[in-house]
This record gives sequence, structure tokens and C-alpha cells, in this order.
Amino acid sequence: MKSAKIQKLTVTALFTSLSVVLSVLESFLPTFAFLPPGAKPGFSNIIVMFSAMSLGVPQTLFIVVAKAFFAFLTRGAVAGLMSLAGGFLSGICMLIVLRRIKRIGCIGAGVLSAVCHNTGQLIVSFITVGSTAVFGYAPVLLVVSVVTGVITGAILKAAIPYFNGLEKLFSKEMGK
Amino acid sequence: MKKLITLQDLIIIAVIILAAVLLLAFRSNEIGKTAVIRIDGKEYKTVNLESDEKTEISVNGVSVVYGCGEIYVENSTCHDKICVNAGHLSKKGQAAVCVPNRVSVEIVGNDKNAPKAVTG
Repeated sequence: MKSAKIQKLTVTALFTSLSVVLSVLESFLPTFAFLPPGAKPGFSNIIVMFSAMSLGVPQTLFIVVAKAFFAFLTRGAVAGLMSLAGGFLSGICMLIVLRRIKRIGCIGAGVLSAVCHNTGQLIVSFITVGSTAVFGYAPVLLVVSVVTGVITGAILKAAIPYFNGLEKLFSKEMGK
Repeated sequence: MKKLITLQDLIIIAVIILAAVLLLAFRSNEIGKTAVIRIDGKEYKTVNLESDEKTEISVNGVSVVYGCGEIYVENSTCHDKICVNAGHLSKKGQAAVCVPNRVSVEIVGNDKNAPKAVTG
């Protein structure tokens, strides 16, 4: 009983650090030719999606908050708030889509996650800037979300066996 | 186990692309002659873009250049430079936004004193 709890804690910690590392590495990437500036592939969404799928509700929300806190520390209050809003919206959407709606596959989940993330960020930028001018970016962001969502969804599908392997490895070690 | 892609996924993608295309299609092609520069959503300055000389002003760390029928953000102290990359704006409804500096530049249309635009 106790070891199961510790195992879950360890796996959550591992995935939290993975998501933070992915978002840091992503910021080093040069802007892709096919993506407009400011648009990121959102690789750490893969971790949030897997967490929503197999870890649980509190674990997923913890990863989202930790990621936002990291953005707050490294890039300031506005970035932290944007990450929090985007993360919460896409995290909750993923908890519903990946746990309850069986008909949506990995790519659909990735796209919805990206769209929700961008929507949350747009709402925060609307509040901070106080002008509807921010919604001028919406069409571009929607198209970008589809592209990045397909990529992250496909990576999620490919990575699920390995993530599951990680979880099993921990449960074996803890079981001893 | 989740499938890679389902019919529903394709429908979701199609709906999103359609929404983006519709949003783009309803964008105005009308040339705008005035632009509003806002800080925190409050109007800071309304500028006329028709003059033949370019004028540069600094707003909250964002350097905005206007004139010759266009307005653009030349430089900004922010990290991501999304506002700079928004490029040169000349059409009604176009905007450049700097979220970290809370500055927005938006083309609102024709001169306030002029009669309403005649389209077509």
C-alpha cells in the first residue's frame, strides 16, 4: 500500500521534471521555418497528455502547476500566468478526452490540447493587454495548433510503450 | 489502448481549419489611416499614418514607427519579439501586440473626423 503511493509519487516527480526539461529544451530550438514566431511545438504537452491518461487528476494538475511555476521563475509573471492558464485548460481537456472519450485518438487529443493551450494563453494576453487586438492572432494560432498537435499526438502514440515501461520499472523496484 | 488517429480526429482537425479560414476570410482588406496605441488597454495615442515622414515613438519599452501609410513595431525590450514579427501593418483590423510590455498597436480605420468609409 505504502510502496504503491511512493511509486506514484516517484513517477509523478519524474514526469514533472521531464515536462520542465522539455519546455526548456524547446526554448533553445530555432523558430521553425513553417511556424510563425512565438509558436512553440509544445513537447511538454506530451507529458501532460500521458499523465492525464495514466497517472491521475491530481498528478496531472501538479505537473501543470510546476511547469507554470518554472515559467514564472525563468520568464516572469506574465509568462507564468500564460503557462498556468494554457496548462489548466489543456490539462482539464486532456483529462476528459483521454479518460472519458474513447473515440478520439492520440492525434485528435494532441490537436485539442494545443488549441486549448493557445486559447488559455490568448485569454491571459487579452486580460494583460486589455485589447481585443490579441484575437487577431487566433487564425494563425489555430492553424499552428493543428500542425503541432498532430506532431505531439503522434509522438505520444509512439512514446506510450516506453512511458509504460518506465512506470513498470518503478513498480518492480518498489515491489522488492 | 488509444488509436493513433480516428475519424473523429479528422473531423476535429477539419472544423479547426475551417474556423481559421473563415476568420481569415472575414478580415478586412480596407486600408486603415489611423492607428491606436494602447497601454494596458487604455488609449495612449492615436496616430495618423498618412504623413510622408516616418515618426518613431517609444511606448513602455516598445519602439513604434508610423507614417507612409503603415505602422510597425521596430524593436521591443521583450523576450519573444512577437510584436516585432507581426510586421508592417496597413490594413484595418491588423494589430501588433506585446504582451510582456502590455502594449498593443491596432489599425482602427479611417480618420476620426472623416466621414465613415465608403467601401467597394
